[in-house]
Amino acid sequence: MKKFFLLSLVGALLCTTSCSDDDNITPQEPVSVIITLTHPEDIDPSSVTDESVTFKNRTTGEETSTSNISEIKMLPGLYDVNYAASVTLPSGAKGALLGSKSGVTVSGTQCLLELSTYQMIPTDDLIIAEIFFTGTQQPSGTQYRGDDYIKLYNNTDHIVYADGLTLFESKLNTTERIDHNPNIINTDVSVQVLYTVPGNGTEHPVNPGEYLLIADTGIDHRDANPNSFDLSHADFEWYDQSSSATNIDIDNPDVPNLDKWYSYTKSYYVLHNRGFKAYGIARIPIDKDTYINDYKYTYNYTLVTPAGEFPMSADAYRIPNEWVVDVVNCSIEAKYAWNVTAPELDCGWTYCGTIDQDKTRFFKSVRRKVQLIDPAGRVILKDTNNSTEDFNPECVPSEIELQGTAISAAGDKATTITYDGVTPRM
Amino acid sequence: MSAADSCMWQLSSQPLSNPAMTQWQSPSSESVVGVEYLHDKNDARPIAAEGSEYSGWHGNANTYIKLHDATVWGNACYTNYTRRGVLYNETLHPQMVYPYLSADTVGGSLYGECYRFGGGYASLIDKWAWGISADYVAETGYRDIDPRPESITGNLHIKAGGAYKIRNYYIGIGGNYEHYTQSLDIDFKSESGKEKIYQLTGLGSHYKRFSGASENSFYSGNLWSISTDIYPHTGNGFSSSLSYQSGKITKSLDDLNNLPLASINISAINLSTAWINKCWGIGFYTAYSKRSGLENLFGLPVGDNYPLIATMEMYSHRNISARLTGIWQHGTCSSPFYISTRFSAAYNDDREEYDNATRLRSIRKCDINANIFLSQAFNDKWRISACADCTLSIPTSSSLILSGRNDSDRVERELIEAEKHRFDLLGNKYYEWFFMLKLNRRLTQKLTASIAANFRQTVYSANDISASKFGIFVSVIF
Amino acid sequence: MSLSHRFILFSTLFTTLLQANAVIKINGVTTDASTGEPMQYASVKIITEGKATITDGEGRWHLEAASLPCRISVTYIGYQSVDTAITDNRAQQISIALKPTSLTTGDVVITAQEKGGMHGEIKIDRNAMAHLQPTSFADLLELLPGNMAKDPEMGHANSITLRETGTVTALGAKTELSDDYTTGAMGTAFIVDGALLSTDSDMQSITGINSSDASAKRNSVNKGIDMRSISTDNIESVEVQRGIPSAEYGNITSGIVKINRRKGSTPFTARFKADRFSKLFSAGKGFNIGQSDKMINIDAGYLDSKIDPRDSHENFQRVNASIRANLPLNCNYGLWKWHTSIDYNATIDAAKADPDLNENKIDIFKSSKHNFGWQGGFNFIAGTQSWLRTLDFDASIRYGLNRLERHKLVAPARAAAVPVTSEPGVHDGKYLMREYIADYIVDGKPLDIFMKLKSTAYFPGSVISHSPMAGAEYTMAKNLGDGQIFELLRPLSASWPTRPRKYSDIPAMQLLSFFIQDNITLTAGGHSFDFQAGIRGLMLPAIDKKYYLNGRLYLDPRLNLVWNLPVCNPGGKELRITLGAGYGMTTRMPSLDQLYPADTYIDLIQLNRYAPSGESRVNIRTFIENSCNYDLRPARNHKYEFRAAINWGGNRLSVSYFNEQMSSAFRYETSFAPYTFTRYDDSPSSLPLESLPSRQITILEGVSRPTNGSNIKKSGVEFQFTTQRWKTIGTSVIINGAWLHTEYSGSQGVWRKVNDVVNNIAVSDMYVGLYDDDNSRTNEQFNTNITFDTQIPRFGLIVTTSLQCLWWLSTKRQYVSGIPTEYIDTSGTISTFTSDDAIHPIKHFLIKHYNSELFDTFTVPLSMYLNVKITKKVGRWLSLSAFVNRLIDYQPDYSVNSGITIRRTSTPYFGMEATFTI
Repeated sequence: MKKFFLLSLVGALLCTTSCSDDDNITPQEPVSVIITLTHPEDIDPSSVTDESVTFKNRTTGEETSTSNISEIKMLPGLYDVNYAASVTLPSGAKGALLGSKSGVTVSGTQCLLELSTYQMIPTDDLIIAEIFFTGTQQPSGTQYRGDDYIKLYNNTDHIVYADGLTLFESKLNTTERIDHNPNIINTDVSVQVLYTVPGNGTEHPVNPGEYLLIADTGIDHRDANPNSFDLSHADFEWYDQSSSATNIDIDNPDVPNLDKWYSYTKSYYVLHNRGFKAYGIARIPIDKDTYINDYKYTYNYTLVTPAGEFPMSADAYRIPNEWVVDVVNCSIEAKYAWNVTAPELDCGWTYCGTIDQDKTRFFKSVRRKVQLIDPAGRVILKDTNNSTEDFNPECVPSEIELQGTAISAAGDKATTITYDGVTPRM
Repeated sequence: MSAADSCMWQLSSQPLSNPAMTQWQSPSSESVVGVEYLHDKNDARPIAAEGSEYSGWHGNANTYIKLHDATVWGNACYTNYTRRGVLYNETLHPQMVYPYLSADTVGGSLYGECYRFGGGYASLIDKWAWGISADYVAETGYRDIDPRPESITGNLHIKAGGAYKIRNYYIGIGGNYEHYTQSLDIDFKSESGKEKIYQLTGLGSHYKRFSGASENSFYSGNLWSISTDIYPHTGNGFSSSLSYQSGKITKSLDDLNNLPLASINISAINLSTAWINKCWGIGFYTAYSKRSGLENLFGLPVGDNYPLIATMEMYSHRNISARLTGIWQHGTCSSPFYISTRFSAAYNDDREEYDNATRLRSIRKCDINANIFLSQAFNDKWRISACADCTLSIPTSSSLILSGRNDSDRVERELIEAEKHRFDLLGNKYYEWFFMLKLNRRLTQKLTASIAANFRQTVYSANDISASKFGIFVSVIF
Repeated sequence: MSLSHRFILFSTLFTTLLQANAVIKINGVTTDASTGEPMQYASVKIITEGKATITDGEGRWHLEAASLPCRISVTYIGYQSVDTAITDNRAQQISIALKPTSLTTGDVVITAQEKGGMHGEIKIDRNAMAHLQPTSFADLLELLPGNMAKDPEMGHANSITLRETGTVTALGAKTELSDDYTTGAMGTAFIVDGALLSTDSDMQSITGINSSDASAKRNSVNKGIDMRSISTDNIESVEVQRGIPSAEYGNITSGIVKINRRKGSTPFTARFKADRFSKLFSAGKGFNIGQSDKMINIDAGYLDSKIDPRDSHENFQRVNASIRANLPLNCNYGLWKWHTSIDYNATIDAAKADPDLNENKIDIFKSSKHNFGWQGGFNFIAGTQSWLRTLDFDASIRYGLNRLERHKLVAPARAAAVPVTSEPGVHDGKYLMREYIADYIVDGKPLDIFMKLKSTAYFPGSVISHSPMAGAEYTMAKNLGDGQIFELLRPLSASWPTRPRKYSDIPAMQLLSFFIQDNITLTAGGHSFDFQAGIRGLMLPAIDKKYYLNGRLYLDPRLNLVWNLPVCNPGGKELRITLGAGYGMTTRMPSLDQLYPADTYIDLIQLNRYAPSGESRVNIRTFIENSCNYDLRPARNHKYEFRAAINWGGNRLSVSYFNEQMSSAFRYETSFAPYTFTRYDDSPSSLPLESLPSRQITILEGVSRPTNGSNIKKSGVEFQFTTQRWKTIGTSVIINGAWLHTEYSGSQGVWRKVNDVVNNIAVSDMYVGLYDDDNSRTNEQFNTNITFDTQIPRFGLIVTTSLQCLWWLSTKRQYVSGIPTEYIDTSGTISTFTSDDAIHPIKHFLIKHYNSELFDTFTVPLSMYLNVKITKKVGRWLSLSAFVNRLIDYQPDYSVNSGITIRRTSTPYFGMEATFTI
């Protein structure tokens, strides 16, 4: 009897494990993608010529572009789609039409994709030339804060006055997509920090081809951190009054302070040092108090966590797209989720470091590319409102190049001098 | 001389692995407790994931006890080893979970400990024989410079088998279930930040979207196999075994709420038949195995919840092999003089593909092996045994295609260099020498001390690099 | 007249007295042959006359025989019964030792045995420990109902939790006890060979350090005994009393752990264990002095364990050595037993940042504790003549050399101002700009003295017998160390509300307690009642008048009843049913750290002028607050429980329901008060301080004080079922488990800041609200462990496969409205929060908003693990063991109410061990 029991046990063991669950394998046939374009009203569709669409496969990183818009066949997967075309305007001049959509799922038998396009208009004001947000390291390797800075540049051919220009940081993260309402991304930029350049309108001129340096703390940082550099020559600094003894901000009386309109933090404001935010400049036509009262923006979203779905609400301020002069989205490849500004303001993103807490990101900044140098020697930077194309990622910061200070925790010095981190300056 | 040394036993090793038939593996009880040191220097490093140097101490004890109507066997082993020069691999047991390894570009050495214990019981009651056995192998491996992987693996084997005697042959069936888990946790102690961890997907490619997104991953696999075995009652005659194996291993990324990234489906059939008698034996072994890798594609996440879009079979590794072996022996385990010679010829067709053959590695080769084993006893205290073995491997046709690359990706360039290096070594001719010398000294009636040393050298003709491996094994047999 | 003459006279008088009334009194004692301990509830019968009785707590029985000679039989389940003939009653006590049946068949008891005693005792003996292969005492808890196997965690202090679920996070993950609810661990007394192991004088911690620091995790102040430091290799048996303790034990809340170390001649045993984290080695030997029964035991052990093998700079080491002597001395009035022992125990916690990894970054933490202990005492067992039976005196002195060192390179990420003096008032501080090396030392020399005198008597009676007990206990805790030493200019972190402090200035804490208890056994018609009533008094005699505790005596009533139903044997097997109930109160006095906490320093910046070129100046006003809470009360726990034990033919089932309410557990809570200082204008000027433009500012700052602010309410059902061993497969099944329901909540309101900022002024500087504690949680879990203990003596093999299932673990955060009941403003007055305060422009910020989903119950469904342990004897002197926890696990995915599916995985924990007994 015992033998029978054992043999049946062996039989049972076999049949229980024989049925392995079969996964439904999708065949590797391409899926047809039908794109419907909506152009801005003042463009007549017939005048649109040499269109091209590029699909960037987020899973494999491959880019395939085609000019035959009508029938496109792509393998199933997750894609970022960019559309570009040139158009002859009613006035006869040549213009560029752009359109982009990120996170498009291609699966099943057919995939419908609506894409709205916009016209690219070059700005006639200061533009952001460089953002240094990663900060430097102490000789011991620990992070040193306080030597962040943003450099603006007069790309036009006439004097531009910086008075009234507002520097802002986006409220939403480029690495965390949340479906929130009201969703004003297409019409406004939601911001959590506003610092404005003081002056009556003509006090702070910037000549063509000159820079405006705005620093976190305008002091010579080398006495606190030998690996840092001197920012005491900054044009402006942002200073926060704080009463707690632990985190006090330092105000250098020789460097004029920006006028602080609003900041989310109770202590002192620093740029996000892993680069998950969008930074920009805007000209706000109304005064501070009316803006602070009328342009509050509160949105609700649900935070989905294992502990449950929590309806959350967040307060910020909004800047209408028309007031925005220039904006740059920063993110990292490993965690990029979406752009936090409308595509017409910026449809790309740039980076320092490719993963979260990347230890190679320190002593690096993002710098705008040189488009051309005119015969008089004035540099024209590239501004197509697409940060992926317009910016060189992970460059040696310009201030470090000029001062020849350290570019690593070990202290080895910068040797190159460049216009934009890549093209060397003669 | 123990039964395991005689070559004849090796011809019918597959049927004897059925627990019901393990009781005929050796006529007498024997327990061995010993310490072994192994050192393997392989600068050629054909498989980058397994490193260029291995040195390890093994302390093992195994016992095989014959009772009047049953046989009990047990083993326990503790191993402490170091593997140096590991490249593009953070996981333990790369040959078990490939192609979905986690990798970094830094590499380094891996310190490991392995605990193994198991045992079995087989009983013979007139015509019926049945047996069960269970083994558990637990291993941990870690590195002490950034990035610091620590992987903990558990591998449980449960076997059961039954056989019925017809004339003087035992005909039986056997089942084997294997449960495998490996948890990989990668830590960074440096304050300044982290390095990028890549998820490899085979033949030098990696899953770009999640490269650097999740350091920790978890492998879990269930494999099972059934076999039908025939073994002669007297130990001489026809023995055969046919077994079919199937299973699935899944890899999931811990940091993205255990996202199932990819899974491997394994299926294999192997047949081993042999005709053995007192002084000669012929064996034929053939096997077909297929390993297919399925990658999951995901859409936009809501929080950490990634919706599945598609599952595509991107990777496959198919292997067909056949071997013919002839053995001639003179003498038995207990006779003072024993000699055996073995000749075998094998054919192996190995083919690996990725993304329907945009990448392909195919090697077909023949191996010829010759082996001689001598054992001489002097009075009843001493016995010396020696063995010499040489193998020649000649590829008949081999091809390597690595298209569909984007050279801007630094990692992909390095991975493809490693694949080319591996193909150069294994795709071309190489030959191997092996020597073994063993000295047994009987201390008391039941207790024998034994010391054995072996040396193996492989010379790859491609770039004339040689790999050497030697081991010393000191043990007490009682 | 010499002693012997007096003795003969006395005994003849005694016997003549006996013959007079033809009834022959026989009494004796029954002990367990394997351990020599008295056996309670053994049944003693005079076979010839059918009279029967049951032995009491001391194993004593008393019968009256009609005539001599007669035959008596002593039986007890699980033991071999003994029949002896009694010819004359002149002999002294008839002592009968029963051999456990398991010894006879080579079986080994490898699980915890529910003794069914009066105090919910559960006993773990030598073999169970050897088979469990523990690294430290913490691993033994797996055998208690309600606990599961846990990997050793050597990176932080291991506090014991009895009958509690422990702290559970919002996602159902168990973490170590949160600092607010450690009174249960602090209130579990560890008694080693009769002497209390006290931790009241341990103050090894850095006040005010943030929780991520390496020292915070290893801080065991106010957390009871750190179980990592107790090695199990010299322990003979452990008895954990979870029920209502006898009055003999006090200054506790949840239970008692009685550790009896190995006594007597034992073979030389050496043990070596290896697992993923640690390597352990221990050796021990016990031998007699000459032929006499005087015995000496020596043992020592070493453990080195890496917290994470990848980080060779973080480890925990333990060294322990002990010499124990037992000197029994017979005299004709009774048996004197002197025992004395000397102990040394050291634990070294070390964690260092890897210098070559972080470019010469220095961050070293090292905490070494060297404890020396002397322990001695005598046990006098009187002869049967006098009513006084035993007199026990135990004393111990423990002295520790504890040293905690932090050597850290501090790089202030931003400039910070630090005070330079320990005095109150206005003074100039300094800026911390560049990197500097901070050295911090905590030098503690805890001294604990313990003395206890206990006497028991025995008044036998045919129906009712009394065995009263009385005694007194004195403990003294004092710390003679130099305390916390650091340089003010080089603090460990910038914001630090503390200054150097000498521990030796702290007065000693003396605890005096007495106890009196009677144990009445009543036997009537086969039923036997065992009723124990006791009182434990407890006071702090020498505490300062300012404290509420001065001159207050706290009395703990302890009542226990055990009812043994008459023995019957349905189905041919003996059935024995025992019912029990108990009610009691236990009181725990605050520890030295809670009675005398360090002062709190409040530094407010009056001038913050940083001039990179000119001379910068920072001016600070410091307030010093005494953090003592003179109104602190002891933590008092009200406990009642019901127990039932059924024993039918060797299959034993015991079930107990318990309920404990403690609403005065200790915690540190913050209270706020207004502080006024002058804020000078920071703009650069060379004018003296007084003439700078300035304004008076008053803000609210908090001081953290020890309070009785925690509620720990424990209730639940525990059960253990053990079957008889089935001969065919040599296996017995043990099923134990528990349903535990624990509520951790605040018993008083808590003052909490809000962090809103209104036009550049923090609301918390102006108003602070008093709220219900929003961190209160109710946890519930139900778990069962089914252990198959298979023993095959033929192969010397013991295999236990234990299927441990946690059926569910749920946690629920208690609802709080978020509206403060009261608030304090800068004038210092506390007023109730009214409805119009709710719409006040600034005060409305005091209302905290919680999502309703935060208070939903979060349940983690079934998780099941299979653990295997194998011990194999190899030859006479070696036994190899191996264990794997979580060999196979079954943890189904589950989806939470937010729709996310949670997938769970687990990793095995394994190791091997070799034990040599020569």
